[in-house]
Amino acid sequence: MKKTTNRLLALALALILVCMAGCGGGNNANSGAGSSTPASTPASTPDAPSGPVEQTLKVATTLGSGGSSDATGDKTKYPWHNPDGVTTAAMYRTLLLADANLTDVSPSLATEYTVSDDGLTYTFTMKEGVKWSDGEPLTAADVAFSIKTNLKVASGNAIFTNAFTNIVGADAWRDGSASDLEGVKVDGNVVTINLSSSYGAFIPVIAQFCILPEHAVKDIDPLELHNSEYWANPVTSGAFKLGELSVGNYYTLVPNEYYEGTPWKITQIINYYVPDLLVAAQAGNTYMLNTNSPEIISELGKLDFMTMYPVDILFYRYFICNMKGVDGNQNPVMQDKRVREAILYAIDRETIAEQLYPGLAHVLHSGVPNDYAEYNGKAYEYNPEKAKQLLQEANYDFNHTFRILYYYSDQNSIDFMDTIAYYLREVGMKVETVQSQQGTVDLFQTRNYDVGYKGLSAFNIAEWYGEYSSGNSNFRNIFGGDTLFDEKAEAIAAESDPAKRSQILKDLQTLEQENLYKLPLYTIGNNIFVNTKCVKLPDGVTFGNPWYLYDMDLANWEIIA
Amino acid sequence: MLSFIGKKLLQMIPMLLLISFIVFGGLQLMDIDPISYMVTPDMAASAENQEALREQLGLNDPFVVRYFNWVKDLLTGNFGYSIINGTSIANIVRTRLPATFELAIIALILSSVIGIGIGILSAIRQNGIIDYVGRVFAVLGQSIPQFFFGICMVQIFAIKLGWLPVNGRTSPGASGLGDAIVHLVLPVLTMTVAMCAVLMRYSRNTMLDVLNSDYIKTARSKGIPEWKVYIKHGFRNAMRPVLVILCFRLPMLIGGSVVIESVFGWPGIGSIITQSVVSGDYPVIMVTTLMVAAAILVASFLVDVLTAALDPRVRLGE
Repeated sequence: MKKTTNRLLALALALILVCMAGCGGGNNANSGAGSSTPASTPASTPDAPSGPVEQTLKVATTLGSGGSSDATGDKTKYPWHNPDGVTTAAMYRTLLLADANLTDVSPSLATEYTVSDDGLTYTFTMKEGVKWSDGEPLTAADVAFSIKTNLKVASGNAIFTNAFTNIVGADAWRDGSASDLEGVKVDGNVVTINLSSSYGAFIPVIAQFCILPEHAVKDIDPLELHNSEYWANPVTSGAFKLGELSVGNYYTLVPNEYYEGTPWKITQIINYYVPDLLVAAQAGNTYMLNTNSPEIISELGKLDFMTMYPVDILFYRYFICNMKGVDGNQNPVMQDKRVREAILYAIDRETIAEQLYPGLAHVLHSGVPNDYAEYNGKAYEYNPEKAKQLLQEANYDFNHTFRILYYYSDQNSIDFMDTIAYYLREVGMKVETVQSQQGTVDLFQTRNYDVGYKGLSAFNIAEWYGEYSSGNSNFRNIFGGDTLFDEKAEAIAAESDPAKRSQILKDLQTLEQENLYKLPLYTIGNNIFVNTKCVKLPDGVTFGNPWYLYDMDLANWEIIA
Repeated sequence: MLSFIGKKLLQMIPMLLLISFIVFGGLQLMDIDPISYMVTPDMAASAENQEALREQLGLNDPFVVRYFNWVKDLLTGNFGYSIINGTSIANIVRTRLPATFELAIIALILSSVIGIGIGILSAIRQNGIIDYVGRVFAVLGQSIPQFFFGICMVQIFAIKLGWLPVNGRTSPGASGLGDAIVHLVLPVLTMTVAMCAVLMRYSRNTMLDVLNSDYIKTARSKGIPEWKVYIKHGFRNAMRPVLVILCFRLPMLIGGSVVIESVFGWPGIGSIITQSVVSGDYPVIMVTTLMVAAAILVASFLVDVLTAALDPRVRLGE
C-alpha cells in the first residue's frame, strides 16, 4: 500500500512538473521554439507555409455565427459590402482611389474625371490596356454594368444605393420599367454618368465602388449576387488574384500577371479563417487587424510586436426612439419630447465612456461631433434632478416598464446596457433590457420596445441625417414617415460646397435637438494594429476608416521577418 | 436476419419524413426571418430589392407549400442551397463532412481504445495505481468543460510553446500526413479526453460487475487461465452496455462537435449546423438534421444487431 501511495505521489509530482513546464515556459519558449510559433516571433508560426515563402503578408477573417456578412470560410469577400481590408484592396480596383480621409481622390482605373458646373454630369476616362485576371480587357462597359447591377442587388452598402439612386432613370431601371439605365452612357473609353439631382459625396462613393467583370458576372442573378458561389473564385482587377481556397481554413492571393500597375513588394497574401482575431494575432497568423473592443485592445497592447494606430471615425452609438410607424401604430410612451430629453439627462455618459471605452468613446449631443466647427455647444450634461423633473412634467407613468432593445452581444455592450438601466432606475423608471437576435426585424418591424440601442458606421455625416428621411425604408417605421427633415437631409447629401454644407449641418443639428428622435450617445474611435516586427510600412502611410478602401501605399509594404 | 434488416430500413423512411416535418414546423415557430440574416441591417441595399428576394426564395409561400416543395426537390436529388450564404448544400456536405468525419473517427477510435483499455485494466487491478489514476482522469475529463480544456490547450501548445497550429485543418502550401497530424493533435486530444472519461468509468464498472458474477467464479474454479477468463468470459459480456454508448456516438461522425469546431476553427459541419439554426437557414437545417437523424436510426439498428450477436439469448425481430 505504501509503495502504491509513493508511486501515486511520484506520478502526481511528474504531472505537476509537466503542467508547470507547459504554463510557465511561455516566456522562454520563444528562444527554444526555433522555427515554430513563439509569441514574440510570429513569423515563424507552425502555420507558416512550408518552404521559404518570401514576402508573405498574413491577415485573418473571423468565422461568423450566421449571416452573409460574416465569413463562412467558403468564399472571398463580396466587395460591395464594406470594401475594407488589404485583401479587397489587393483584388479589386475602383475608378478613383481615396486618401485616408476618404474625400480626396487620385486616379486608379480612371485616368481623369470631370464634373459639370451644376454637379449633375460626371465623366470618367478609363485607363487603356487594363485587363482582368483572366486576361479579358477591363473596359468602360464593365463600369456601366457594375453600376446597373448594383442598383438591382438586394445586399450592398447603402452608400452605393444612396448615390446611384440619383442617376437619371435609376428608379425605372430598378423596377424593370426601363430596359436600360438612362443616366449611364459609354463612349469608347469614356463613361458618362448623369444625375437627376446633385449628390455631394458622389466622387468619394465612386472611390469605394469596386468594378466587377461583366463577362463573368452577367449571368448571376443580382438579387443573390452577394451569396453567389462566384466569390469562391472571382475574377479580379487588382495586383492579386486568388491562388488557393481551402474551405474554412484560408485562401491565398498570388500576383495577377495581367496587372499593369506597379508590382507589389509582397508576393503572397494569406487570409486565414479564424475563430478569434486576438488568438490569430498572438500566434502570428495576422499581421494586421482593427478593433474598438477595449478588452482586445488591452490584450493586443501586451504584444510588443503589435503597433497601434488610432483612427478617428464616425462610428455612432445611439438610441433610436420607437415613436410611430407609417401604419399609424404609435408608442404613447415616447411621444413627449421631455421623456426623450430626460433619458439623455439621466445618464452619465461621460463616466460611462471613460469606464467602458477609455480613450475611445466621445460623448455626443447631436450627430455633429463636439470637435466640429458646426457643433452649436448645446449639451445634455448628466443631471438626474432635471431628468426627474422632465419626466414628472411629461406625466410619465413610472409604473411602465421601459424596454430597451439591443442587438450587440459583446460583453461591453451588455455591461453598458446594465449601466444604462441603473441610471434610469435612479430617476425612478422601471427598466427592462432585451437582447435581440434579429436586429432589423425587431427594431423596425416587431417594434416591441421604447428605445433601441444601435450603431452606425457612417461614411459621412450625411448618412447619419439620412436616417431621419421619410424615404428611409427602415426608420420611417419608427419615425412615422415624418417629412420634417427631408429637405435638409437631401440638401446635405447633395451639397458639395463646404460653406453651404456647414450651414445645412447647423440647421440639421438644431432640428435634431428640437425633436430628439434619435438620442446620440457617443462616437467610438477605432484602432488599427500592425505587426511592425514583421511588416515594414512605407514612410508617410496614414491609416483611415478601416471599413473603407483608401490608399495605404500597399505596393510598398515589405515583410521583414 | 435479412427480413429484420429490410424491415428496419423501411421503417426509417416514414420516421425520417416525420422528423423532417416536425423540424420544418419547429422552424416556423422560431419566427426567424432568414432575410434579416441574409441581408444584414447595415447592408440592405433597398427595401424593394429585399422584398423581391424574399418572393424569389419562396419565403412568402405558406408553410405547407414550402415543405412540399422542399420534399419534392429532395426526392429529385436537389438538396438546394443555403439561403444565407448561397453555397449549394451538396457542396457544403462535400467539403465539410470529410473534416468532421476525420476528426470524429480518430477521436472515437482513440477514446474507445484508451477508455475501454484503462477501464478494463482498472477493473482487473481494482484499487491499483492504474485504477486510481484512471478514476482521477475520468472525473477530470468529465468535469472540465471541453471549450475550457480546448482553450487551455491552444494557449499552452499553440501560443506559448508554438508547437502546434492554433486552428484550421491545413496550412497554406503544406500537404501530406505531417501537416494533417499537427492540425489534428489539439482538437483530437480535447475531444478524446471527454469521450474517454465516460467510457473509462463505464467499462470499469461493467467489468467489475461481470468479474463478480457467478459464471466467472465457475470459470476460475474450472482452472481456466486468468487471461482467458478476462478476455473470453469477462470482456465479451462487459462490452454489451459499452457498445451501446459507442453506437450512439456514431451520429457524431455526421453531426460533428460544435464546441470543438468553434474553439479550433475546424471546418466541419457542426459549426455550419449551428450557424444555420441561428440564422433560420432552413434548407441547410433540414438536410443536416435528416443526416443526423438517419445516423441515429442506423446507430439504433446497429445496437440491436450487435446485442444479438453478443448475447445468444437475444433474437432479432422478436
